[in-house]
Amino acid sequence: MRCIGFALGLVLLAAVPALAQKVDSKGVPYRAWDVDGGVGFLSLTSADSGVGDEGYSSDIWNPSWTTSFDVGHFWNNHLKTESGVSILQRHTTWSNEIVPLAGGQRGHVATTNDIQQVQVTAAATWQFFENTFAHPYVTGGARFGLLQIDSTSETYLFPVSGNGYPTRSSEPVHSDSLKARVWPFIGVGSKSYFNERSFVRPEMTLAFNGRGPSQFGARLVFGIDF
Amino acid sequence: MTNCRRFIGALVVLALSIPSAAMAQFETAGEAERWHDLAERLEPAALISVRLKDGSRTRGTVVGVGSSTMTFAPKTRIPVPPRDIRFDDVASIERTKQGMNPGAKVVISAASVVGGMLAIAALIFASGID
Repeated sequence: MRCIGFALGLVLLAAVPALAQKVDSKGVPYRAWDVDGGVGFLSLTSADSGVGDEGYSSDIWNPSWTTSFDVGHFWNNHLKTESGVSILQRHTTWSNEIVPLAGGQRGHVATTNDIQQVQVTAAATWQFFENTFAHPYVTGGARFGLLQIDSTSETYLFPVSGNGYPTRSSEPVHSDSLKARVWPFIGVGSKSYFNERSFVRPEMTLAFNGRGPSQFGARLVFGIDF
Repeated sequence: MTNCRRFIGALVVLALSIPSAAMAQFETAGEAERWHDLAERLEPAALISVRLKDGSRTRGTVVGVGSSTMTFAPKTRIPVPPRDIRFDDVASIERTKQGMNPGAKVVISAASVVGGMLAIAALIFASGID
């Protein structure tokens, strides 16, 4: 049984080059799919990287290393639609809140947010030149940010009168939540080939939120056409 | 009188255009022969860059030479069949070299940038130790 599966796999692999290579209306050959993966950095404003209730200025930039993977489909020699996923570094934010309590006492709620952001992209890419070893391109689309937030809140009580240290009133409270955000983005890059199929792709992107540019990224990915 | 002026003007324009057209014809005929001779003298697998009169430029190798055309194999990423190019359509033929592929250039550039940054970081770290 295993032998049959192996043979079928071999047949499929052998058929891939013939199946995938296409020729557009101008007679230019191209391969219909590509996959790639690589590393880079992404700098996000606190409005895009934080929970949103930290009270930070929204335009403080926070850098993060990223690992990303993409798969793309060429509709002709120039136009590609692509989806990908980028995993950002974990990021911690803090928020503080003073809560007035009965009897003139004040409470202090300190919250730590441990944030893991994953971004999913959907993009359309236009690459220049035909069947060459270097294809500069422009790209644009939407970037969906999924923030998994692990929050820990601790409440402290200030003394009613006089000086003194606040005392913790209860055990830390843990909570998990998810936030989703979406941003439009644009980018430029160059798909530069080592040989007929394998390539490296340096790329720079800029994403926007309601206040203007909010994410700047650069990455280097390696991939293969099939 | 106006018709006479127009007629003389047309004659002048015609007289001026005839020699240049004849010269262009002559040059084209001569050029084609020269490109033919040059293509014949190229050694096998010589990489050349051909610019056509429509402005397009292609790199590749000559795989055959006829009386009025050469068979040219373009150097493309995905191989394509050789095609015939008429010597009449050729604007220039230049020898070119096989350079490093763009992928390797990108990797070397990226490595240089990262190496430079590491060197700067090392210098900053070393100056901080003192």
